Amino acid sequence: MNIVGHELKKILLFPALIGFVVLALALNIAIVSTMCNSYANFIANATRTTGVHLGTAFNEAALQLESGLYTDTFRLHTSNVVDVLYGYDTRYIADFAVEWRGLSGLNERLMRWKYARFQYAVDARQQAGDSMTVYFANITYMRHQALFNYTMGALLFQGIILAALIMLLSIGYENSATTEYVVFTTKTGRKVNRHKLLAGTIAGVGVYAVLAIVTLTVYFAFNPMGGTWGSNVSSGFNLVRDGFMARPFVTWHSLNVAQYLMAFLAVSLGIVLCFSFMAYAVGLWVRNSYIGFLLIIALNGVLYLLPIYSPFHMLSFAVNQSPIWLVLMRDMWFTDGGNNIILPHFETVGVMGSLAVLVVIGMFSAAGFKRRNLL
Amino acid sequence: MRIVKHELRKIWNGRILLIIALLCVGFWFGGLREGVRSFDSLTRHGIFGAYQGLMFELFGETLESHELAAFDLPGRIAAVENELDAIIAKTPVFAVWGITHFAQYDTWRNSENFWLDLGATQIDGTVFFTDEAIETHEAMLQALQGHDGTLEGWFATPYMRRGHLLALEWRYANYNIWLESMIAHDSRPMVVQSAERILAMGNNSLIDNDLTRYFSLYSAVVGVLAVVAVAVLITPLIVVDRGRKVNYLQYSSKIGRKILRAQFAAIVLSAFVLSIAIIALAFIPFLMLSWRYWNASILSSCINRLWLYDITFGQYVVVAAILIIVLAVATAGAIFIASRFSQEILAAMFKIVPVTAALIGIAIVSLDQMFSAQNSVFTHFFRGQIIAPEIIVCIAISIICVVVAGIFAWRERRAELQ
Repeated sequence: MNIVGHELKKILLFPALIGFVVLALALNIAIVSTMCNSYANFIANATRTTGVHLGTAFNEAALQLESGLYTDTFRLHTSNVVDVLYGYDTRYIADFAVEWRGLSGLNERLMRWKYARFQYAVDARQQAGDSMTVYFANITYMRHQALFNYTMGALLFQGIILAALIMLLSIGYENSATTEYVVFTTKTGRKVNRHKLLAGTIAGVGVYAVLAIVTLTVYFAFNPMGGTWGSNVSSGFNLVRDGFMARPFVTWHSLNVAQYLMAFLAVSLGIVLCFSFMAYAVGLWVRNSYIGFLLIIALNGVLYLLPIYSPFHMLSFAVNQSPIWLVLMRDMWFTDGGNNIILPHFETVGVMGSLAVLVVIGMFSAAGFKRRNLL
Repeated sequence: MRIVKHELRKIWNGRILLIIALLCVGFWFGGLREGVRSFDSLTRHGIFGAYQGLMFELFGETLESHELAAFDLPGRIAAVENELDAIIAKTPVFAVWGITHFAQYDTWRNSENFWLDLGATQIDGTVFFTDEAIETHEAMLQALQGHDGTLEGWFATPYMRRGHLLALEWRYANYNIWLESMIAHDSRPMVVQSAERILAMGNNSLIDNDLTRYFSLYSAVVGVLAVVAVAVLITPLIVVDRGRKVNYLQYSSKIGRKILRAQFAAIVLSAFVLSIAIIALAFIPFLMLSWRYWNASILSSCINRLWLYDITFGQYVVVAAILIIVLAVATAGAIFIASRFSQEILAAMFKIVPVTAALIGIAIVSLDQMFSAQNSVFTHFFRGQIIAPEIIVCIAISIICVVVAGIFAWRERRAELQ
């Protein structure tokens, strides 16, 4: 444990890392501060009085709100709301996905199976009244995107870049300090990579946690959620855009905004870990950290291009659950995932699967490193 | 000069060039190719179909009022409506509902009672569609938009052609409606000024509706590629010298102490050359499709989109290319500064990655929709108060980066080695 502590100290006291984190935080605060919306703040405050469930009681409570600049707009958009999930048939989405991608055989059956299962989730959300919650009313999509696409997206990109760099720093430290011929000459010395892995992982996750805590604290200071915390993210006002289509945002499980944020952070953390492990494996094979970093970018570039150009649908569906695609598809997490995805709960399956694959690759790389000639 | 030449040889080594070549291939298949294909498709499948291209072929870069009259939009609309009337007359589903001609269908379709008439139910003001209502509606649409399953076939249907012609009527005959609204309500002085100018000119540019927007996005991606390629190319030069402590050797002589100046010159020159090569390679496929608009003015407006300045598309391309070069040189300067304060590659990467990311961000917000009212720099940072802030931002950043880097290079001969 003592070695891990020393390795951690090496990483955390690296001046350039501190500079990077400070810059990232400054950027996030700048982004977040431009997202203020006075109508959203009004809704956040109003929903403390009205509650979040649309209907007669909500309308009556809305009528009691003190008259102001946004009161009429709010009342207008929250009265006579159509339950978009009533009669919502997921077969149409399945038909579109099958036709759009030209699926047949097993791929078609799996796509239809996913949407047949998704129908149960849609019905459950509708029956529970989740779709008839207010969220941010007519600006829901914009506010949902502001938090979960742009703010969390910026955090996620910073998190994965830092996680990869930190792990490369941890693994490549001895090479750059020209101490590897001392450290790795003995069998015991070569085991230090385990401690480096642990230290790099703790540092990567810790830095992401710091970024997330500070950024989200500032976000919620500028953009209070008020009563909307209890609103369901599957609100009828929310949308998911999938190619040409805009569809209701429906999650597999009932999640209010607070629960969705927690789940989102958990998956983000999983992705950050994936990039840490990816950097670990690359760092063990490529001792030049610069080339190692370029290799990580190239690897993810290939993973990005593969589903676009692969003639095999199953390969595309598999790669669409790789960490880089999960990052790009973050605005669909916990929903059906559209026509790029064939399995339910793709973000959870994707993170778990990627972690498992990367752990195996990491173990294989570590075993290879033990026997490698470093000269 | 000889030292600069040797530094250039160090920068332009085979391995790095291979990485840059792979990077270019990745960008081409990852986005640029799709940009070219999308624009190619939009010249025939945009909101005006193929009609705007036809007008350009007939009348050249601008549309005069007599040319608009000669194109006879009302007559063309009437002709396609006659085709639609014929379809309705021979399709039983319309007869069931007493529809005999398209104008009658169009009025009914846009009425509040359309869905209720088809059998949808209304409870507490909410309309609930029934399967019968949806099937009837789809049968009508199928009759009007029935095609051979291809995009060309769909766009050739009279229903779609009518939509294109109506859009064209909005663009060239009724443009005053949204321009006057913009002049009355928009808080950005430059937007109002441009809207007034377009109104006075009769919104008469026949430039392809999607050209400037797609080219701006395309050039933003090329800008990102140039920034990343320059970063990859020049990062190792200074850091590797410092990492291997070669600078101790270099600094032991009077000429060696000036090495940073030579390296700075080599870096800036490399960025300049590489960005020009990337621009030349990347712009050619797009310009092969759009060269005929080279002399057409970008100053135009369609609904809420407005291009602000009276310059030709050719001039727009040149400005975009210059800004990409400027950003590439800025990247060189910024990375030079970051490398100067790094003793080894790992430390440099923690500085170079955020610097490169920041320049990528600047390239995107400056180049995407450049010179339009929707540009982020113009609208969000400068609130539409000044002319072409995109140029000002890119040049200012480049000057700052190059001047600061130059100062460090100049002062290096007095630096203390640690």
